[in-house]
Amino acid sequence: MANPKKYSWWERVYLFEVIRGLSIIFRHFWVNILGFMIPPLKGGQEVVTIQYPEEKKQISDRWRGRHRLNKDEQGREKCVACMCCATVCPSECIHIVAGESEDPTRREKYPVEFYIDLFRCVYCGMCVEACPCDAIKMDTQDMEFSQTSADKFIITKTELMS
Amino acid sequence: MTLDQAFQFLVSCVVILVVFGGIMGLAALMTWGERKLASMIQDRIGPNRADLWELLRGIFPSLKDTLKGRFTFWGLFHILADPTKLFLKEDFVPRGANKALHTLAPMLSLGIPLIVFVVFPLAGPLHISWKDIPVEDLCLLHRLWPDAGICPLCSLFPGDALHLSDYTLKLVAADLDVGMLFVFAVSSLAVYGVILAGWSSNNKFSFLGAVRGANQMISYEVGLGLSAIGLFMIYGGVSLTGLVEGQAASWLTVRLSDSWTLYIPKWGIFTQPLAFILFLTCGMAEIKRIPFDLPEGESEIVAGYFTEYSSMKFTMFMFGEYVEMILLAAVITTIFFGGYDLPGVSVATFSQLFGESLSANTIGLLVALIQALVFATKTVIWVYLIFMIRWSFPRFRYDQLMKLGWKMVLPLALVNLIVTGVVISIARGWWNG
Repeated sequence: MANPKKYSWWERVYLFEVIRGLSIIFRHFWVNILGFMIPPLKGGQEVVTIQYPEEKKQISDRWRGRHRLNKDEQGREKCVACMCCATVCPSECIHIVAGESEDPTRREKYPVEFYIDLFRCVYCGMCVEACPCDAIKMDTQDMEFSQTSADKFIITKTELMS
Repeated sequence: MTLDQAFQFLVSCVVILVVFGGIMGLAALMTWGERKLASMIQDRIGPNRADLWELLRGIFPSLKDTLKGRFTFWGLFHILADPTKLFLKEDFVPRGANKALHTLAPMLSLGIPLIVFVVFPLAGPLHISWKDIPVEDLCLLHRLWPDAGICPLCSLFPGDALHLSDYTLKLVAADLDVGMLFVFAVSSLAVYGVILAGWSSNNKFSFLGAVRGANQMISYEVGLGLSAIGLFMIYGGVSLTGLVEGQAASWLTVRLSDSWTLYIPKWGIFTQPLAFILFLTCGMAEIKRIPFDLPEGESEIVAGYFTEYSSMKFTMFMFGEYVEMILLAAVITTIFFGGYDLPGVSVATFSQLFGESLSANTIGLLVALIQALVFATKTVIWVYLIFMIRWSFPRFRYDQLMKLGWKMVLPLALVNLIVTGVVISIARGWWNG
């Protein structure tokens, strides 16, 4: 390819441009190193790295994390096992076992078991949108749920409600 | 061999140990320092996870209660963590490789740059005027049992004495008259490490890397030698002690006006500025540093000639690279920046200043110590500058590399040589006969 840029004589000599480049490098280096070594100059440094395990970034409120099941005033699940979330789920990761409740103070249908396969989930948030009772939420802001074995990623109702 | 020579030999051995320890320590520090410097330049944090307390807690479980929390010191202990990791890796030799040469190559790349360091003067000659010590007084066996009759040291040097009343100690491991020629000759052997590594690995990427490396190193050898010749002409000799003494001897004077005269130390950089730039360029190409790191290239030839190396053999290549970097810094310091010379630090000025309170021997020792420190500081500053240069250059294309070496550096070095020769001839008045 032909070189589209014509360099001036000053640039072709190379040496002066090199010195200009070196001065930029030096400025970055000293600003950062002094900012690290001398605490009063800490504000001057240009490093924006967040030291992850020790300090964490503020996560936005609308950020979709691990799911949870909402509770009512008595601490029971709000879910009525309508299967809307399981139906709308594009990756088919929600499995609900519905049952009939004996308790007269609440709606008769409730989820006996509620599984979410976190490996299959794509965190699209459509289950939250589909839920008519505001029962399933993704506002835990939890993203650090690593486990030591694969079967622990299918989370149950107890984990979802805790 | 007289006792005086034996003493000089012992001192040379101590100098070798000090230099070797210093280089290896600095090279180990550079493995961390380079990454830390790079991160600072690029607005990152860099290695900072290696934790000394965690390591000690792992080795000695009883320390669990006393050593709490973390102690990372900006990641300094990566210099412990990284070699440990490399030690524990598999030492892999590819199928079809020439095992003997495959093992020899890293030894050459680490050993050859280390050999070159013997010729660098750490400090000026140290004059001692104390007293003569007969060999009987030096011999410990003789002192403890005066009646023992024969003892080894006395029988080696019968009737000799250590003439410390008027003694000149050289603080050089080997003060060779061929100085710079030795540096050029031995450092150019480093190309064998590259070629053997690439050829013996039985890998096409290694071979390509070795070809590139050898081509580049041999091409720039020419410019490296030619750009330094101007200095030999000015200071009259190739011995490194001679070069440093020549640079320390006098001043360049620039008359600004009738009452103001600027004094500049007669260092190589001020007498041969163009040669300095050419030498630095060729030196960077010799040690295969960015922007001349064509023998390696992840997207083209993996890691170049050391693709097939792992474990400690890889570490030796890496260490060899850092030692070469220190070598370049030391050469530049010695021939262009006056070596151990710092204006004002000499026996003459120090005896004027402290002549009344300190003895001549103490002043000599003090000056030698300061000079050694100056030399070390200058070398470390140059290592730092080489690190800095790394991050401000884009890499050259291969044809650009060859063009720079043969069509720009070589003619410029020759022009510099001719101009230097003419100026020296005029200055020394050849037309007067």
